[in-house]
Amino acid sequence: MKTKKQNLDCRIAQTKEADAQVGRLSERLEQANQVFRALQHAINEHAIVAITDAKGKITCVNEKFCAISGFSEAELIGQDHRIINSGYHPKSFFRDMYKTISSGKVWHGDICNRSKTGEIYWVKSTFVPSLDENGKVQSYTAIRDDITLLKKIEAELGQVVAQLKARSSEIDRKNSEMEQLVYTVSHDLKSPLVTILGFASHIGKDLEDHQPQLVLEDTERIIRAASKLKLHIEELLELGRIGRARQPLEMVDLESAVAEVLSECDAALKQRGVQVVTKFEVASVLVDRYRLLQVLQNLVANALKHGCAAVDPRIEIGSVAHDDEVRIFVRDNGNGIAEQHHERIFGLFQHLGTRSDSSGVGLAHVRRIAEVHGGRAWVESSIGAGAVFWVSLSRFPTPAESNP
Amino acid sequence: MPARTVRPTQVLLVEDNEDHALLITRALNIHSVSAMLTHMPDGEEAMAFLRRQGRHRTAPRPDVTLLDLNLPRKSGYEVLDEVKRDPALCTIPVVILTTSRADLDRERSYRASANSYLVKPVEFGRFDEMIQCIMSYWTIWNEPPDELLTDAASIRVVRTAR
Repeated sequence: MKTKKQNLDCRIAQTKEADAQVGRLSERLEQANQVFRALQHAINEHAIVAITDAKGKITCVNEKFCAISGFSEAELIGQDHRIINSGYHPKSFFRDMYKTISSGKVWHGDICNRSKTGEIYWVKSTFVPSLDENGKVQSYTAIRDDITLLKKIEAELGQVVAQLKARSSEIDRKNSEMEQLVYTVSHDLKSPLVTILGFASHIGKDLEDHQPQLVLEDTERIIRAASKLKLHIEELLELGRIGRARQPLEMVDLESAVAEVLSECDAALKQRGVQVVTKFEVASVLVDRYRLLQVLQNLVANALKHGCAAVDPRIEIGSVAHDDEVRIFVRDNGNGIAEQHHERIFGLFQHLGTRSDSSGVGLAHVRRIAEVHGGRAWVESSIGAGAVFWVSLSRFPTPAESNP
Repeated sequence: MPARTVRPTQVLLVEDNEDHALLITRALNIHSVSAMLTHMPDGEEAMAFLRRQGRHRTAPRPDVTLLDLNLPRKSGYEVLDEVKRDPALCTIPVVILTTSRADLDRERSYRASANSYLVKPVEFGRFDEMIQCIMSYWTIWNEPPDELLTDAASIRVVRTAR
């Protein structure tokens, strides 16, 4: 049988042991506390933190949350996150997020928020639900990083990429245009050269054969070809100038511009007995005045040359509004143009007939001028039904990029 | 042995540039007195001539055709294509005569069975030389065998019958 003393000793030993255990535990607790505080401090230094209850009401925010949102802690506690909703995301975005976290899963994503002062900011967010032992959500902890700058750079980068892409396809287009130009130009500049050198080589023989008349004829052909060559070169230079050296745009009254052009070719119109009808749905248009006159001159000259019916020739000139465009048209009642030629006629030095009075650049100029104004030029026609030449111009032109 | 009638070489020139047509005509006159040249200013007229349609009912069959590519109404390519697809015409040598040095034109012409592709020279005095070369090369027989013509005609009849 144990003595009382023995019992007491045993109790003392047990108590000492318990004390030591408590001491060890509180030491570990203190250590854990230190880690927790260190983590809390680090997280608060790094991230925007908010904790909400299971219903989404904010119960705790850190300084960074207050700083970026512009709200004080007092203003935020008891509110839900809608207080910083920017309206950028659709409702389904938050619905999906809530579905994820309310089922106990972690959610990651980028959110666009709005501060108290209305400033937009982006945060990379992680939402972590805390669950009780039954797996029921007790609270949500939201940790966010400010990625506003990143998003801005991303957006700018996207814009730059889009611009580069547009630029590169523009360059591709210009290159193929240039190739086409070089092709036609080399062909059409060489043609008079063949004539010049061909006939020049005959002159010696003409003289040997004592044929002064032939010398004269050959010289005449040489001069004509040389003049044609000169004209081609001048027109090419002019075509190049359309893209560069742009005059400031001004409001030009269409009726007076057309009247000016018509008065220039009055003699030709009267001689052919052409009836001219004008009808302007849109009275004026913002353009480079000189270029508009060129367009009208070319279209009227074109109608006179190719579109004049033998009986009752008639040219209609006018303008219509179409969405954001002003469309200028010149309609004739001539023979019309087969569809396969509709694009070809706008090419350089292209003409369908064998007429020597057409240089084959007028419509190329019209198209180029329309393009420089951000518009288009095209023809609607079929054989026997006359032709309508259209030039569309933007009603609200933005200053087109200047060509380098 | 039946005596063969010597007839001049028939040359069809399809060219819209009057100056070039005259240069070719003169070159022919200088070098090949026995050539008869017919000049058609566009592709459609040329096809009518080759098919002996309309006012060309009595047109001679050309021994060689000199064809420009850039033509009004019907392009040189269209003419070339129609000639080479037509059993009655495909044996007529077609010499493309153009200002274009572009590989694309050259390839496209040969693919369409052009017999030759020549670039109009822009060197002094070379034009006559080129025409002379064409004539001496493509008109070796300036009297094509009669049976060739008969063959061509009979093929045409057979095709029409089908």
